[in-house]
Amino acid sequence: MKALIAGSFEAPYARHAPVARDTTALLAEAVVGALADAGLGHGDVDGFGVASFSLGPDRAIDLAWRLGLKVRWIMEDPHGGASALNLLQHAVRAVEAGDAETIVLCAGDHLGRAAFADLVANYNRATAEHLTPLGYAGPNALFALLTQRYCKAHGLTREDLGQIPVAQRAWAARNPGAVYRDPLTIEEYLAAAPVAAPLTRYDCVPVVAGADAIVVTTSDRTSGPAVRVRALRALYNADQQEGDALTTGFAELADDLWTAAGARPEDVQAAFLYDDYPVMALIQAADLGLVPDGDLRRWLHTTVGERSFPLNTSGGQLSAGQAGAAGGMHGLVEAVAQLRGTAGERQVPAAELALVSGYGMVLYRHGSSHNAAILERIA
Amino acid sequence: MNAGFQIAACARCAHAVWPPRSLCPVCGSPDWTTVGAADGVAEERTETTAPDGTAVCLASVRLAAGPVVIARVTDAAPGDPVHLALEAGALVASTVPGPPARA
Repeated sequence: MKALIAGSFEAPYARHAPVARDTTALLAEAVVGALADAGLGHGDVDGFGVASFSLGPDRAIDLAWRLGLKVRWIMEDPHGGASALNLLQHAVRAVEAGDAETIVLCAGDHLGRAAFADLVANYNRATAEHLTPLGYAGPNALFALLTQRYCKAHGLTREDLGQIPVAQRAWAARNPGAVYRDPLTIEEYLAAAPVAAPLTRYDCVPVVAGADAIVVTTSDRTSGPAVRVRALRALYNADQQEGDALTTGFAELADDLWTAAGARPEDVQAAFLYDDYPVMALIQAADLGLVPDGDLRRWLHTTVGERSFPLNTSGGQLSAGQAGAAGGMHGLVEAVAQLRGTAGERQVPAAELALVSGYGMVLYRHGSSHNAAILERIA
Repeated sequence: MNAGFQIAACARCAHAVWPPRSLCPVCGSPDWTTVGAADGVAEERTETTAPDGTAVCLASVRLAAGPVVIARVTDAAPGDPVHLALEAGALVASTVPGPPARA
């Protein structure tokens, strides 16, 4: 039996969410919304997966219990920006193997100021032992160093990279769920004060509270358009933190991904790249084959800047916000909405095939975890 | 070679790593020795704000011993040779006085 994604939902992101809208409440809201979107009921669910930084001391089983779910398959993924596609990879296999029939995957966080500071300082042992003692306040500094390195290697300027946040803000204007929707001009972008040079606040994701969910089920249980995972590939510890990160694990997995999908980069109508920083969206585009002539400047100004190709149509995390571990599922939820034709004012016409990526888990100098999927609309 | 900051190097294949690890990523050996790592060159730097609100400069430093590390810097600019030392658990890179070539 083929597994399909039958529905998706995003519990609205908020910059300053009320305390009562805690992580559990947000995840519950996302699960209910995704099931409704899929036309399935609470009683249909027999598999459950979650990614969250702020669920503790609860785990997947505790959350499933709070949600009243009796399941045959359960999984928890702690891998931040790579968690959603990792969960999806396993959920598709589980449904196709008959381990479960309807799996809900969710991701979300509501991190207060203190919880966020603690998460950043103690993200892993390498961070706690070797970065935090430096006066490290989070990954902005590391990605500032990477942005400098990448721009120097490719002769790019801030005005070139700024095309990504500016274009994504224009998409966000059409997304009622994005936290920043006012137009952003390249002049405003260039005039912003550095947070960690060359990065300004427009290069850093706004921290929000929110949650996302999708439903994976058998093809006979879907109603209306659904989404098939044509191919999904992952690579973890691609460079063991020893490389320059100018190319990433995405370059290593790209050929296999496109071959397995029976598609080429020019066949997708939209891409949803993990945009924790503009430079990462650019590196993923280059590594995954979206810039076939290698002219990054042209791609930034024309393809992205003029929005001739739909990239991160929700506004991406840069404008919609990053809800902790939901950052990994945000692009997936948007891709599913686009492919199912439910993206409202920002609907991409004739979206049949889309690329989604996940990236993250900064180990010491840059992200360690890379995964990407080619998704297909099934009418 | 400077005395001071040292990092782990694989006892079998000599691959040097920072931060320390359990198995060598090249050959899988669990056995480690140490190697001097006090010399490097600053590659990129950025000024940011520490959690306590003070300004702090962080840099990528390519060690002569191999790994690229993240260190706190004061005056070092990209391309400068630096000397590395651990100060209260923090890796600090300082510019080397005088001409870079030393005995």
